[in-house]
Amino acid sequence: MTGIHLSGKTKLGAEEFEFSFETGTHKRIAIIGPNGSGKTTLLRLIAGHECLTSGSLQIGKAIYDEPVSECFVPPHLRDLVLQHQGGSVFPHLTVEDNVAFPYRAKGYSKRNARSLARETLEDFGLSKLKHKYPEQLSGGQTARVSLARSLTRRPKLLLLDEPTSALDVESVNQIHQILERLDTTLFVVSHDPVEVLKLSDYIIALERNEVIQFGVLESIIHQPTSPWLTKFFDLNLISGVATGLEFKSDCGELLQLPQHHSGNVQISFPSSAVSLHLSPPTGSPRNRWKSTITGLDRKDNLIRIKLSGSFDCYATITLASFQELEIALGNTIWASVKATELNVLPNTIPAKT
Amino acid sequence: MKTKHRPTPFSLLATAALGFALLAIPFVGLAQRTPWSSFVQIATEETVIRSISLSMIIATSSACICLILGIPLGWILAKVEFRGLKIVRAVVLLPMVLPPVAGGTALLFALGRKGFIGEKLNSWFGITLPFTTAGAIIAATFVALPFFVLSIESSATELDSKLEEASLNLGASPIRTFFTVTLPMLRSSILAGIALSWARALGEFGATITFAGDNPEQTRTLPLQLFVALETNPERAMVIGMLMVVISLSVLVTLRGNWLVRR
Repeated sequence: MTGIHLSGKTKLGAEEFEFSFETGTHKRIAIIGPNGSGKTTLLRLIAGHECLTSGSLQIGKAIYDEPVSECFVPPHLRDLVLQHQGGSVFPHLTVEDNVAFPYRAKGYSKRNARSLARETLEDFGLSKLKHKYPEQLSGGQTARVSLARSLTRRPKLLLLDEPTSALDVESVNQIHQILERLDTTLFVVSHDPVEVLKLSDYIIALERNEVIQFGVLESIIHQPTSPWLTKFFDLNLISGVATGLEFKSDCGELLQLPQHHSGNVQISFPSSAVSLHLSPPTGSPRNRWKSTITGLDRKDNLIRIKLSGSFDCYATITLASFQELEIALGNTIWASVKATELNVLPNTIPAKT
Repeated sequence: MKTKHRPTPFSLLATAALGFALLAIPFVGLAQRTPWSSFVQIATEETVIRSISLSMIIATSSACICLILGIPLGWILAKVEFRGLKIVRAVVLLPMVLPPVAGGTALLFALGRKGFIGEKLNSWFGITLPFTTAGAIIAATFVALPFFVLSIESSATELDSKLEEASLNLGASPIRTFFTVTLPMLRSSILAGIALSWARALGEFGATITFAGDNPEQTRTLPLQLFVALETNPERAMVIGMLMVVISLSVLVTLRGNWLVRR
């Protein structure tokens, strides 16, 4: 059990932070929030690079940081790894020695540490890179080396600060595949809603240096408490079966996929990617379906429209388009979305019904 | 990074040439007056050879002491926040600004035979530093250490502390992190610091003669030998001066300036 229970304050320079949440038995936690909302500070606090000024941090059954009892476990004695954005791979060590580093820290001889490191590199498909130095690696390779190194410590808790930012699609997929297989409790700071859906089942949402909402993924998606969260999770989720480039929703609607997939999957697309038409649309969008308008919600210049039909989804359009279409509750309308806007996820998240 | 194929503005070129001339012309003057015919004979005299080896021993010992004391000092000045940091930094850098003679005088009143520590060293352990090689090493270290510390401090300030944090996260203790991550990251500035402090110690004169005195057997390094010769035998002085130029220049050329200038 590595549930985290944090309730406390900290101060960095002139900035004050107040964090309060618990993760219970959940093992896939995403930390989300706008830029500068305290996500990295929260990770650093858990890792012991910052300390609380009041309150307490509990991981599993042990207290790690509690100013009132003068308890503070230093970072190197915490059974967790914080992986900085960019990976922080040691530039003066080869890939092999980077990955052997945690073994060396544990007191293994150089030879044993290296041979264990080579096994890990083998698992990660990085064997060819073992004698290279970090400056010779691509961004994706660096990310994988960093992850391999973090995992050789066998941490109970892995804290990742934007592990896939600035990576190409192929590398992002490789990193996600590794993370999906992991048994370790995972804290991921992410800016990408699709990544959050893929990797987590529990959310801690921050805004202005405070936790504004935390809980299981579905509850946050369905009842976001702030405009930023609403926008972040403004996604349609549809489950069904993929065969090659074709997706058949549970209700029988056929959609085109951007890549080949097979088996039970979910597809997601932002509501802003849905276009509405009065007559069956022609043109490049391959995916279109007929729906009934069952809900309208106006926010400033945007209208969020609930569409019901063979599956439920949302479309967000501007007020001007809304007025032009002259639509009202109960009207029938055509919706379309480009196949390139679809993201395919493994079928783990209960879709909104 | 050097830029090729880009025209250098003439005004910059001319000013740079002037600066170079200021540095180079004195050596031309020295070389032109040096009695080359008797160069080898004077340079291999026993007293000169002894001065050369004394200079080498003192400069090298001093650089080693700088290495041991200077790395922690520079690192703490760069990374640790404490009250009085500014005063500590000012004191550390003082010998760079102070005339070496003043430094030597201060050393004399602290570690000399009558100095408040020197007196105790003498009565408790029977150690006297003036007129010994150990005293000359202390004088040379006194003026050379700030160069070393400055070199470490400036690059430790720029050091990416995320790497040290990563090391802690991967289970390495703070001291292990210092040796396996911090020191290797500081490698080039450590080498630069060694070269700088060695060079400074080699040329040290004022503090040495004030504190360690002029003892032909123990403290008469090349600069002191040069000073003595200048009053008695100018020809000898020129040869010794030229000898120092040759030694220093060959060291600098060997290092190709690599360690001194970070690129």
